[in-house]
Amino acid sequence: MAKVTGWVFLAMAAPLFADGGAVLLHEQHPPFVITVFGSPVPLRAGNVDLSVFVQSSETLEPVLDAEVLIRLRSSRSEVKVRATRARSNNHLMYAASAHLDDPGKWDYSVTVKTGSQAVDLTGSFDVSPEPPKLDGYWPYLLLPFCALGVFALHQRLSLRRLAKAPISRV
Amino acid sequence: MTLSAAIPSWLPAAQILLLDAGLVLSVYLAWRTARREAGNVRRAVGLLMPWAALAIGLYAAAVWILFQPMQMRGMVM
Repeated sequence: MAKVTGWVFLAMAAPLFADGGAVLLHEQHPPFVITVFGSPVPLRAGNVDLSVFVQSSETLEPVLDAEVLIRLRSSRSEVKVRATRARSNNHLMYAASAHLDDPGKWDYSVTVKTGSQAVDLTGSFDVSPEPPKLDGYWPYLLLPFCALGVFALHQRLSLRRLAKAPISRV
Repeated sequence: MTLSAAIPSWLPAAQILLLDAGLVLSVYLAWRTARREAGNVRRAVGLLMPWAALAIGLYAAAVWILFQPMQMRGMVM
């Protein structure tokens, strides 16, 4: 039983990712190696953080003087954001926040420019619906208190009946 | 490249139902123990109350944690 329960919980568990969210894309496009991270994991409608790590394809050193533009497009809306190093914690990545209105499939393109060199990358990701709100679950939250109330009533009635019952003598 | 990781819609309800079952079972076991240890019903209720309050507090904390956003915002201040 414990083994089965363990497997059930393991199957339900979402994978954990390190700082910066999940890797959405990692590609080598000379003169760059570009990695795009998305957070939260999984991506949900609402505010999301996108980070781009730009490296030189020759030395793998981080490129710190790039201009990074991210375009996000769903079937109904489009978002453009400029990712900057100032917005990232470690100042090695280019980070931006974006608001994704709709769940579903989103296409994105990342443009990285340094001087005269520019690289465009494209990809897509699935966006889950917004996280559940507590308000929608109040019947589930009331359920144990109703059960305990019924149990308390049952105990009260059965104790009262027990008190009224005549004591049998042997 | 596509990243796909959808969360099933039934999961939060199932998680709350598990917490519900835990709360009911805790209070029931506390009541049974209190009835066994106490001489009369009034004293049993007095023994039950702090443990029931603790169980309800833990239940509330668990529900609160369940609905917190578990997202990494380390890259953006």
